[in-house]
This record gives sequence, C-alpha cells and structure tokens, in this order.
Amino acid sequence: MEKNLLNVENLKVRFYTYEGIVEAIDDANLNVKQGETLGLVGETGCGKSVTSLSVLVLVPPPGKIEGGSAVLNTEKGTIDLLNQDEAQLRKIRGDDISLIFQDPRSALNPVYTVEEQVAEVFLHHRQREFTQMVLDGIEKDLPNAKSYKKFILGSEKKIYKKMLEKPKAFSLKILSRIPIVNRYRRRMRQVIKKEIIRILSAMKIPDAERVVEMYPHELSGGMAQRVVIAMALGCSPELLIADEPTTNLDVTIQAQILELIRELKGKFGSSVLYITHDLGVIAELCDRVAVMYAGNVCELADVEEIFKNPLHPYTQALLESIPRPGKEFKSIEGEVPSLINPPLGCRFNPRCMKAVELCSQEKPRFVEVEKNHYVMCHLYTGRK
Amino acid sequence: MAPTVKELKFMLTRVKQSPLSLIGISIVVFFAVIAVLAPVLAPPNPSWSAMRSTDPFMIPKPRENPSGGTFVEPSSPVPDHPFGTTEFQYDLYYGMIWGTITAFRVGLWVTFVSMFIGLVVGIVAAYYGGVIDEILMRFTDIILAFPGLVLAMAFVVAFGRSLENVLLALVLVGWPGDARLIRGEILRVKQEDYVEAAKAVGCSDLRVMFRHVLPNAIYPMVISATLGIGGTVLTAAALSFIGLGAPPGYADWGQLISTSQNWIGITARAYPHTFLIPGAFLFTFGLGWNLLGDAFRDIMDPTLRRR
Amino acid sequence: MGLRAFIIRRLLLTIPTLLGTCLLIFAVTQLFDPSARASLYITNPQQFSAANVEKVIQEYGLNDPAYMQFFRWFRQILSGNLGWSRTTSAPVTKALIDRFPATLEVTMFCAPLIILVSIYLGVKSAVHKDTPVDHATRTLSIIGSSLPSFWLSLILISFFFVGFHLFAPGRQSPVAQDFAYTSPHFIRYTGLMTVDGLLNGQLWITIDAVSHLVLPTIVLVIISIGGMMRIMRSSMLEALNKGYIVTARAKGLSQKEVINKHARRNALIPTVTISGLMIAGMLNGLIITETVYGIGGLGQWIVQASTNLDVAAVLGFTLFSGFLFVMANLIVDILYAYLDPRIRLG
Repeated sequence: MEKNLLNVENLKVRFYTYEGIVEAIDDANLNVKQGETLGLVGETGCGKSVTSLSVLVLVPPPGKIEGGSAVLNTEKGTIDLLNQDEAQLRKIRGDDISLIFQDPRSALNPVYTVEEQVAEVFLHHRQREFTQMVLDGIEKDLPNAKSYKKFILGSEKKIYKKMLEKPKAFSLKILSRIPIVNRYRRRMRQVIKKEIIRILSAMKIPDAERVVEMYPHELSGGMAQRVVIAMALGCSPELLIADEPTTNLDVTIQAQILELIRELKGKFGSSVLYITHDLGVIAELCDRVAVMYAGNVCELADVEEIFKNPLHPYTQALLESIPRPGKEFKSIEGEVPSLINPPLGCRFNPRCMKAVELCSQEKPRFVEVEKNHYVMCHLYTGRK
Repeated sequence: MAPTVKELKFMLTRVKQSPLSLIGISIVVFFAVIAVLAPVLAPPNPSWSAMRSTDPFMIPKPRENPSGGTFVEPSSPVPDHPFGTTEFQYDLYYGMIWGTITAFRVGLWVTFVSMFIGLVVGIVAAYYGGVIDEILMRFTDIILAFPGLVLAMAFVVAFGRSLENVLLALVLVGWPGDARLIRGEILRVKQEDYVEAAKAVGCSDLRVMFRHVLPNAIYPMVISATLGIGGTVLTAAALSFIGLGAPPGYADWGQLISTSQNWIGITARAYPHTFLIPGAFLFTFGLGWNLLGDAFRDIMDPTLRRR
Repeated sequence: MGLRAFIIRRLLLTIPTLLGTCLLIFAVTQLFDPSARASLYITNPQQFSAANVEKVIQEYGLNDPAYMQFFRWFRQILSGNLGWSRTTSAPVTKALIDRFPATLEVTMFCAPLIILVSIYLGVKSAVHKDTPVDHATRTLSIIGSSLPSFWLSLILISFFFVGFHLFAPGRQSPVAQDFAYTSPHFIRYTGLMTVDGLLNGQLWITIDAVSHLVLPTIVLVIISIGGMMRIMRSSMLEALNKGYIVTARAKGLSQKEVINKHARRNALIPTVTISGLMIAGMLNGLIITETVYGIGGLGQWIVQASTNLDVAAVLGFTLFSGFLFVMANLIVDILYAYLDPRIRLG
C-alpha cells in the first residue's frame, strides 16, 4: 500500500484568549494520498483553516498546537512537521507545501508589484537554480564580449559564483546595496521575470507581460487569485492547501479557477487539500472528502462513497439539508457549540438524532470502519 | 438608545481597567479641585500689599524678601510662602493655585470655541459639498499652511500682547484642524451602509445628519479635543514664556517660568524652585489630559476591543 | 497615472496655496497702522525718522485701498524685499539668510534622529505589543509630548551646565565664535559650524559646535518623537493583521523578513504623512529651544522681533515659514505617492 503524502493524527490546537481557552481542534485526523485531491468540508468556525495552518505550523498566537502529529512523506524522506525547527519549516513552506487563502486581494501586498511578490518565492527557494541559469547566460555572452564589457561580465561571473557557494555572504549583502555596482542584479531579475511570465501564462492569465508590472489593486479578483496560485505553485510543491480560494469570487470565475486547479494538479504534480463549505465544489473537484465538525474530523471517505453512503449522523444531516427543488427545506437542529466549553463526549451529541447515553460520556475514536472509510462515531466503533 | 447606554457602560469598565487612564483622570480631577477651591486655598491677601489691582489673578507680593535677600531676588520656601517667591517677590504658591484656573480657562475655552467653529464649518462643508466645500477647505488649507506657533505669534503681535489675545490667536489657528477632522469623519460616515438605510426608510436629511451621522463622527473629535487641551495649554504657556501672553505678575504658569530665566544660575545665584515648581505643574497638567486622551483613543478604537 | 504625472499635478496645486498664504499675511499687515507697515518697504535705517516715515507712507501709498496695496506689496515680495528689521538693523531678507544656517544645523542633527528613533521604537512597540517594552515606549511618548520644551531646556541647562559645567548654552563657545568669524584662516563655506570646521581642517570647531548641539537635540528629540512613534505603532499593528503577512510566512519568509519587508513598508505610509505635522511641531519647539539656548538662529530672532514689535521681521518670517512648510508638505505628498501606488490614481 502506498504511503500517504500527508498524515495528520490526533491533532490538538488550543487558543488562549481573554474569555477562556478555546479548544479549537480536538483530535483531528486526516490523510492525503499522493496525487489526489482531498476535500475538507465543514461549517464556518469548525476548524478547517486552523487545521491547514497547523500543518505549516503557522497558527497565530494566542493559538498553540498542543498535541498530535503531522507527517509529510516525500521522496526526500519523512518529515515530522510539528517537530521541526523554524529554519527547516521555512524551507518547507512555499516549496514542499503551499498555502493559498480566501481573499486573493488581501493576500497580496498592495505596495509591491506582481513581479516582486512572485519573485519572492523563487528567490527564497529556487535561488541556486536561477543563479546557475544566470551563470550559463554569462558564459554564453562571454566569448562575444568586447573589452570593457568583458570586464563587467567577468566581475558579474565572480559575483554570481559567490552567490552559488555562499548566498548569505556578507560581501554580497554589501554589494547589493551600493547603487551602481548592484546592477548585477538585473540579470537575475530578467531570468526570474521570464520564469514568472511563463508561470503566469500557465495560469491562463492573458497578457502576462503587462500583468507582471501591475499592482494588486489594479487586478480583478480572478486575476489576483491566479497570481496567488502562481506564487503557490511556483516551486512545484508536493501539497497545495487551498483554503476556500473561490468563496470570494463570482460563480463563473469560480468555475474557471476550479478548472485551473484541476489542470495544474497534473502539470505540477501536486496533491491538493481543498478546504470549502460548498458541497457542490467537493462533488466536482475532489477524490476523497473529510467532514469536519466543531474541531473534529468526523468522517473521511471517497467522494462517491460519502454521497452514497454517509455514515456519520452529521454528514447525513448535512446532505439532507442541501436544498433541492420540490423538497422541503430541512436544517440541522440546534447550534454549533461554543468551543470554550464544548460538550462532553462526542461534540455533535446535543444535536444528534441518533445519540445514546454513551455519546455524552465518552469521545468516540476515529476508526476505519469500511475500506477507506473512516468514521468517528460510537454507532460504528462497537463500544456499546 | 439602549445600545448607547451599554456602550457607555462598557467604556466605563474599560476606563476603570486601564491604569494609565485612571492616573489621567485623577490628575485632571486633582487640578479641577484646586481650581474650584482656589479662593479658599490661596485667598488674596491684602496684608501683603503691593496688590496692584483687585484682580485676584494678579499675584500678591510681600513688602520684603521673606528670606532676607534683596527685593529682586527670589526667595526659597519659607513657612509663610510654601513655594517661595520668584523675582520681585511674587508668591509662587499663590501663582500655582490661581494659575490652575488660568490653565483651565485657556485649555477649555480655546478648545471649545475652536471645536465649535470647526464643527459649524465642517458640517456646512460636508453637508453642502461642491463649491462651498472647496472654498471652505481652501481657507483651512491656507491657515494650516503655517506652523501653528508661528502664526499665533504673528496674530498676537498684530492684536497686541495680552492673555485674551493669545486665546484668540490660538482659536484662529486651531479651528481649521477641527473643521477638517469633522468634515473628514462626516464624509466617511456618509458612506456607511446604515446612513443609506436611514435615507431609504425616508428620514429627512437633517434627521440623518443629527441622529445617525454626527453621533458616529463625533468620536475622533472628542479624542482630539481631550488631547488638544494639553497641547493648547502648553502652547499658551510657550507664548507667555516668550512674553507675548500674560503680563508679569499675572497668575500664569508660563509667565512665571519666564521670570525664572534669570535665576537658573548662570548670571546670578541659582533658585531652581522658581522654574521647577511652575514647570512641574504645567507638565503634570498636560500629562493628565494627554493620558486621558490617549486612554479614550484606545477605548474607543473598535479594533482593539476584546469582547 | 504614474508617479511623474502625480508630481506635476501636485506641484501645480502648490501655487494657489502659496498665493493664499501671501493673502493671509497681507491681511494681517492690514491690522497694523500705516506707520508700522512702513517698515515693510524700507530698505535703509535712515528712513525711519518721523518725517521720512510720512514720505514712505505717501510713496508706497499705504493709505490707498487694500487691493492696490496688495499688488504693490506682492510685487515687492517677489523681488525679494521683505522690509527692514528693527531688531537686527538689517533688511529682513539678510537677517533670514544670516540666521538660517544656525537653525538648519540644529534641524540637520535632530530630524534624522527623530525619524529613525520614532520608526524603530514604533516597530518594536507594535511587534512586542503589551509587553514591558511596549508599555515603556508608550509611557516615554506620552511624557515626551507633555513636557514643555522650555521647561526641559531649563532643567537640562541647570543640571548639566550649572551643575557640572558641561554643554554651555549658545551656539559656540566665545573662543570658537571669535575664531570662526574673525580669523582669516577660517572660511565659512556653508555657515554650518560643524561642516565648516571639517572643511577648514579645524576639528576643534566642529567638536565645539557639536557639544553645543547636544542639549538642544535632546530636548527636541524627546518632545517630538511622541506623536510619530504612536502613529508608527498603530499603523504597524494594522499592517501586521493583514492577509499578506500570513501569505508571506506561508511562502517561507522568516518573521524578521516579514516585518521588515512587508509590514514596515505599509506601516510607513501613514507615518510619512504625519511627518509633515512633525516638521511643524519641530519648528514650534525649535523657536522656543533656540531662545532658551541662545542658538542665534531664526527662532531666537523671531522671538526677539515679537517682543519688540518688529513688524517686518515677524511677518517676513511667518511668510517664510509658511513657504517652507508648504514645500515640506509637497515633498511628503510625493513621498507618500512613491510609497503607496494606490494613491497615484489621484
């Protein structure tokens, strides 16, 4: 059996606020297989975003990851994400795992151009590659160069060689700040710009040459989101986590972006963890789906399986509540619980039609009940 | 109206929780008490004579230097004169007490009048818009094109030296700032959804303005006003210090510091209490109002709340 | 729209403002009676005798209707004649030029310090919100804005000079001043004692000048950083909450890089706009501080002029400071447009 790309087990995240301790995530489990699209669906506030942030250890204070594990299995090896030091994590973010967010326009810094922001990812993770490209370019130009140009090229070659060996060298830091001397950076910029235009075109952004020079406020919502996706996929990550990327966009644009993600997945070889509250998108895009409620993943199965055979009462209620023409409008009784004082036992039990006494006493475990079908419910885990 | 009451209660609890705002309030209250009780704390004392007028704001001075020095020299604190005297024997204790009233007078009068003018101009400009707005804003631009103190000085030189003229000059220099502030806030609030909702329901323009726009636009002005009192008193003191404000012998802290310049010890013996004491009062007064304004700013800032 | 178009538009807008300032000053001149106004047109001291004053009034038509006077006066301003300053027995323009270097020197020392310290403390305060560092900086800023500049100056003189004979008031020590102004070996290239000392190879002049600048700088820095630091702090806090911060971290940047590269640049924008006000505040503080320390710059001159009712000087200086301020705001606006591309759309 192939190893999963990402394994999250017993994740526990708490937020220490003035009002009390918020048990945001309590024993969440999910896994993403190589090459698949896993959907993570749930109501607002159930902890989807926090889960995605936890994978990259980016939970903002006053939040703290208190337990569990998140393991990434790549060809390079197995990485225990929650126990890495910051320097290691920074290498992983944007390179092995990328994260894109809901509002593309606020994800982009308004004072920097598209080029500058996309280049940031490249400079951070692919600098060696680009430095080498520059050096190759210099080598090509060298034989044809005339006298003084030869000198310039020669010095640039030395600088870039140094960049290859010791990118953080102090001498480089100084050189890059001296006005005329730092023109050597132009080559790098050109090389990167070409790559950026290439990637933006892959995102189906028309006229990428012009877009590259623009500022975020000059882009439409759809364009902005494509730029964000370009930034995320720029380094061909193993896993792309998309947190409701189309919620703020028009439906037509949404369809385009979904199509884009589907295509790019194959092109860039990434797996996708797609977070949304829209079951329709899940049906369209995902291979498997995890259902989340109040900080727990209550069910995880293939998409078809979930729609045909939902096991967890919450999933069932969710599917029931989808409005259909001719059907009476049905909603789930009760309210999402406050996570400062969550219900004892299974967190869904106050609203569950099929709850028994055990449900308010003991928390169920996350168990593979049928093939590739996981549930967190006493009804199935045989503890009666 | 109920939500407003709840808001106020919430604000009060926040005020009570913040130590800095409590300090600010205590300072202001302390000075207010002094100002109110001035006639009791420092009664005008005829036995000291040399009372040039019946104006209680003219500081009395004893006939001779209680420390035994010359008449010109200040005197260190002695039992009859708890803060000592400054040049020409003006009693500092008296000056401090009645100077508190002066400070309040300056701060409150200038702030309220300039706020009033600013409100009127700002509301008119924001309400009518168009040409009227442009003209009024050009007007404020011109006044704001000058550094405040410099323009105030020019006004005082033109009007004549006196404390009243200083107040007038400060108002003339201050109202454009308030006008722009309120105008900006009104324009911002006008864009908000609830204003459009009110109009859609059929509220008249006037009602919309006074019931919906103003209550929300007024907050930054309150903050600016509280902070402004501190700044105004300091500027007025600076003008008195230069010699453009209250006449010598008047109970004004800036004026008293001005007379103390001869006695810091360069040209004659040093009597530091002559500038330390008035300055301390001036500083603490400004500090109190600034702390209060700062606390208000933090409390009224909706993004900093933690419900 | 582009930066260039914005700059041109903004430059054109300054003209009506400058005109307006002239109008205001002129309105103030009308508050004086004609004999006082005469000093605005006089260029040499002999003309001050009573008989001559009458002649001047006639010659310049100071009893004519206001609008005629305005044009006359305006034309004269444009030719550079601001009148005669009684307190300095020199044309106002000359007095301005003579005293400008002293004020410039103090500003040169203080302004960069104030800006850098405010930005640094503002950023630190925001990043470490609600920690002791934050509380300490905020307390410092409030105390700084509440301190009367003249009081602080007096305290410092009293403590350092009277107490320890350090940092004498004045711009230079008498020996240095004598040397700088009378010695044939010393050429005052710029009028700035610190720079001239170096240019002339007389290091002791520079050191002397610097030592006299220490106390005024301390005073001006303490009273000026309050406002700017607080704006920097709040705009930094706002920037740190924005979405692009998390995105940047998700790209793999370190917290330090994120703060310096992303947050700070955005936070600087409101701060830059405030710096215009700060310059005004500094000028106000400068006037008082120069007077107390006897720096002999523009501030001290204007104070003398005010107490002596030297009309030409006061109004000439006011006009000049207005002009300066308008220019400063122009630069600030251009800087703002450079930092924030959203503004350029006008």
